[in-house]
Amino acid sequence: MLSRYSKIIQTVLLSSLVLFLATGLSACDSKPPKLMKAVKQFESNEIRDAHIKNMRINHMDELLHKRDETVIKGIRTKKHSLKACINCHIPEQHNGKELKHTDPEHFCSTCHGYVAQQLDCFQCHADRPNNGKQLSNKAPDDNVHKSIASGSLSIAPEKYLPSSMAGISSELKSKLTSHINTNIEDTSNQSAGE
Amino acid sequence: MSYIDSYRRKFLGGLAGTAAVASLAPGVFLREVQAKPAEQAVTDKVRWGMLIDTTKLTDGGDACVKACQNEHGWGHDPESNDAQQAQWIRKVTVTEKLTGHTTTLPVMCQHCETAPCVDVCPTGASMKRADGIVQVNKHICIGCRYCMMACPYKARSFVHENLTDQLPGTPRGKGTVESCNMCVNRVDEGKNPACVDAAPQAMLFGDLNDPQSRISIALKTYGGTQIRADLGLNTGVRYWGI
Amino acid sequence: MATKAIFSEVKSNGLGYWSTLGLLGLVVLGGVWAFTYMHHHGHYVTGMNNQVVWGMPHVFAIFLIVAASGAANIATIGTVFGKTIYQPLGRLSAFLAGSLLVGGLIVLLLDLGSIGHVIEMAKGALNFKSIFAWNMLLYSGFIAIIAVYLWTMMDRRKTAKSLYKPVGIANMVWRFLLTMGTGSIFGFLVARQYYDAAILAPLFIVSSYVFGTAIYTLVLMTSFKMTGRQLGDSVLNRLRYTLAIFIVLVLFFELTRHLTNLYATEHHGVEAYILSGDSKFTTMFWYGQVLLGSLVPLFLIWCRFLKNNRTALFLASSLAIVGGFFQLYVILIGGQSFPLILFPNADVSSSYFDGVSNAYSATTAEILLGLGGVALSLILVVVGMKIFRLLPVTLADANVDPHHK
Repeated sequence: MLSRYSKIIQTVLLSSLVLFLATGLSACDSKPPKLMKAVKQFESNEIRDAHIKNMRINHMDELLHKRDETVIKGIRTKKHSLKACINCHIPEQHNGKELKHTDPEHFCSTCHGYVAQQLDCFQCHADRPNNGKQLSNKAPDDNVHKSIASGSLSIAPEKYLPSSMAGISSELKSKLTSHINTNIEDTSNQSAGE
Repeated sequence: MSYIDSYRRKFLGGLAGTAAVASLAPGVFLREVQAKPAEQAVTDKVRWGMLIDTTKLTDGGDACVKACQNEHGWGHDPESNDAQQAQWIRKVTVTEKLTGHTTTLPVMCQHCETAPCVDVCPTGASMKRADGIVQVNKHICIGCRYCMMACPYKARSFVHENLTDQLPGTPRGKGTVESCNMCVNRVDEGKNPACVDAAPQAMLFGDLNDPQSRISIALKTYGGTQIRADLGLNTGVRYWGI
Repeated sequence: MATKAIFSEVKSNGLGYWSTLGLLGLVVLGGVWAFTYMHHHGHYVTGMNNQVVWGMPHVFAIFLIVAASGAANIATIGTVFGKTIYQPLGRLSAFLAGSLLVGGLIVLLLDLGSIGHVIEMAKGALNFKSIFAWNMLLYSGFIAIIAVYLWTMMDRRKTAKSLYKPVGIANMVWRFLLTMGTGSIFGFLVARQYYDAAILAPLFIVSSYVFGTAIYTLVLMTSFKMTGRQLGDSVLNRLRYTLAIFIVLVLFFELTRHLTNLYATEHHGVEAYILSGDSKFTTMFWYGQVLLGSLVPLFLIWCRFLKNNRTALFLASSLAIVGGFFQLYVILIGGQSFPLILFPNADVSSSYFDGVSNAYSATTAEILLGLGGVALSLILVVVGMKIFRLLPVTLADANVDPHHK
């Protein structure tokens, strides 16, 4: 009596397993999802293909390695930096709105959703380049700095300049201005991305 | 406190000429901070520090706080109540009980040389970079808040809720501890911390290990007070006028 | 010992056993709910904040961990100090200790902000200057030692018997370190006025004996009553006076601690806040810890009219636990509630609660999480009694006391 029941249960279990595997394997044959095209493109197809080949398999390790390099050692090259990934892969606007990682079209989410792999980065990290918040939240105080930084030192409001700077030598002034300009160039280079 | 006052009197009295070099003339020396090459790791040859002249902070530090908020995006987490809201830098008003003398100053992470928060952290997430900047490596922060218990300056905050729309330069997220990181992202690019740029007349940022840096010269000439110097933590943030 | 103690599993399959288990299971479920709720929303749903960073879950967790160390003390007395009357009590003592520790650690773990990051510690992210990191080793080592200790008590082989005493000693030394480590979590916090005192380490050790003995007594009395086993006055009186002596020791250490603090001007503020302020901590300290948790139990134990009175002992143990809970609440929450002193002799104010005493009240989720840990510990004990031979068949006076007439 008992053995007959167990046999029935066995059969049911086995057949469901076969069914599961069959559907599962057939799913493997289905096409992977189409990924959004990166905003910026590589100069040549060879570089692009090498990049794709490496990143498809290794992106998590590259990011993990880079994460410690950056946080602990302060190494901020763009190679394998998450920020650089985002700046290239995620457009600032998509169909007239900002693309968030909660949208399935988001480059990272498309694949991660497909393979049902949790995506933790964006619990903390920005999921799109320069999200609107940074720009809209700019305080008026920042303009002060900008006016100094943009080299228009001579017309900067007096109250923001220390009294000791009133008699600043022209030599120093030009030195400062050139230094500032270099910095500004640096910044603009950085924002261009790779 | 008193010897600083006497220094200041001397400073105001007649040493203005010399002081012009040594004192906070940040408009001029803003860019003495050199950007290291991006591929180079930070070294202990540099120790970043900050000098704050509270007497020159006309707003007591409000501009610094605002600049920090804009740079790092804290202070408006929707679900957290006032006591749970993050605060990386704050304006503290101090009134001495006997004399009634009142000072306001911005207080944030003091970037201790021997930081209690670094000592107590079980994972090493609370860390000091080689160049003296104390920060949280949120990737390995388990959110135990022991560093918040240990910090003598109440400089740390815990993120109490899920966040969205973080700024690219400052990742912040639920369940991790955070604090002033002296704007590492800016410093690594050769910029000043945001608060220093917001109050250039009163704040100076530079390398404490370089005897020729403005901050070193200013501190060597006029000294600088540490908050809770009794703890012997050798802070990287020093004050004038407290 | 007149006769070798005989142990047996709990054989009852009756309503009592399963309803106990079911009730505790419900409380654990409450804890599980609390965890998912807090984990899903973040800690804004708790009363904890950036001022009072450790709250009710930590009070529960530290209570259980400290009590675990104390619960194993009963076994130590039998093994290390050779008091034969305690030896039949050893198995339950060790098993209870392990269970309490697991319950406490689970609560501590589930309160973390980023539990997922704990995996990084397994990958080597450990800072050995941190007392937390030591504690992780101390706690896991304790569980291992407890397992070996139980084996030496329960296996009849010669090797097991020969290891009984060495392992007992190792267990005692380890417990010392463990409780000191837990006390030092606070003792080493230089910045906080109410902590930063090495005396917290020995204070935690004696407190652990109170919590542990009290819990042990309650578990022993309840389990013997429910399984219909005989429990004589000899054993109970040993536990009774052990409890009393440790309560007195805790009072002594508390007195020393506060007197030392009162001598130093820099600590006057916080001592006034805790001892004579109008905050809830003052009430909790004097009425909760000192009166209800210490003096009343001492009276219940030493009052001549209550000699051999089991209700009195049961009540005294319960009150000692309540008192211990108040003690930890005052140390943990009270200590954090008092503001950090950035500038001595000055009034300080800011938008970040400088210079004001910080309010804290636990939310339901926090309490449920803590209670869940307690219930989990007890479930482990109840299940353990059924699987292992932890309980002696009898602890009647004639069986345990050779001098009993």
